[in-house]
Amino acid sequence: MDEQQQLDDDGEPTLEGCFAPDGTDLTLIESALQMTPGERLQAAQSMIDLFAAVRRAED
Amino acid sequence: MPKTELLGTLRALAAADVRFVVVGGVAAILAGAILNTRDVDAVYALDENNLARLAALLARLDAVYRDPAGRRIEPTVERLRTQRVNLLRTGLGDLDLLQEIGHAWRYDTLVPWSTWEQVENVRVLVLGLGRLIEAKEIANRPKDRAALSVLRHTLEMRRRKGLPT
Repeated sequence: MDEQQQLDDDGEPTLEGCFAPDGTDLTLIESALQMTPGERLQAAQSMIDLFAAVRRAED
Repeated sequence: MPKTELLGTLRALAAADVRFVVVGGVAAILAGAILNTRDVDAVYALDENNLARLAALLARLDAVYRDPAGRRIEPTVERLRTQRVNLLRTGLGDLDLLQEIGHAWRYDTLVPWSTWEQVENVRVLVLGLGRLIEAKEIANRPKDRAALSVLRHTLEMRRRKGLPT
């Protein structure tokens, strides 16, 4: 864990700056912005393929 | 469950020299928004040559309309010319072909608001995130409202990084 990480009253990381007030995970967006457009599309394709595989397994 | 090939769909459209702008979930994903999508949405140019190229490609992809009644309705030049919304199932997955989005924004209107993106070995025109957000605000369907928060934060982060919006 980052030594600079702030902890809340329960000893958990506060995750300050990780989430917007509306709950949006800003770290996910930051990660995506580090990727190329092709990598972003591949990530989306991987999710589609994963859901399709789960569906097939359920059938 | 039919397969979905996002890149394959874009590649097929580009290889057929179809003039189109990527909009919707794939445009958002290409801009860096983390969204779930199952299809490619595109606004296509309405000139006769483009309609002919598009219809020929759709025939090669064995495209049909996603008809709730299960009828086999194939896209034709005439249907692409007259129907504003064409929700298709193709051999590469679902493809939503639209004549316009937002405030009746057609292909020629969208082009100046779009940028060319290199997606692996495919070059496609993608609507900018700012206008995509506007279009979703106008459409205002539940799925559009659900995506807006992520899209707005993505837009803000792109601006801070000096990326096109």
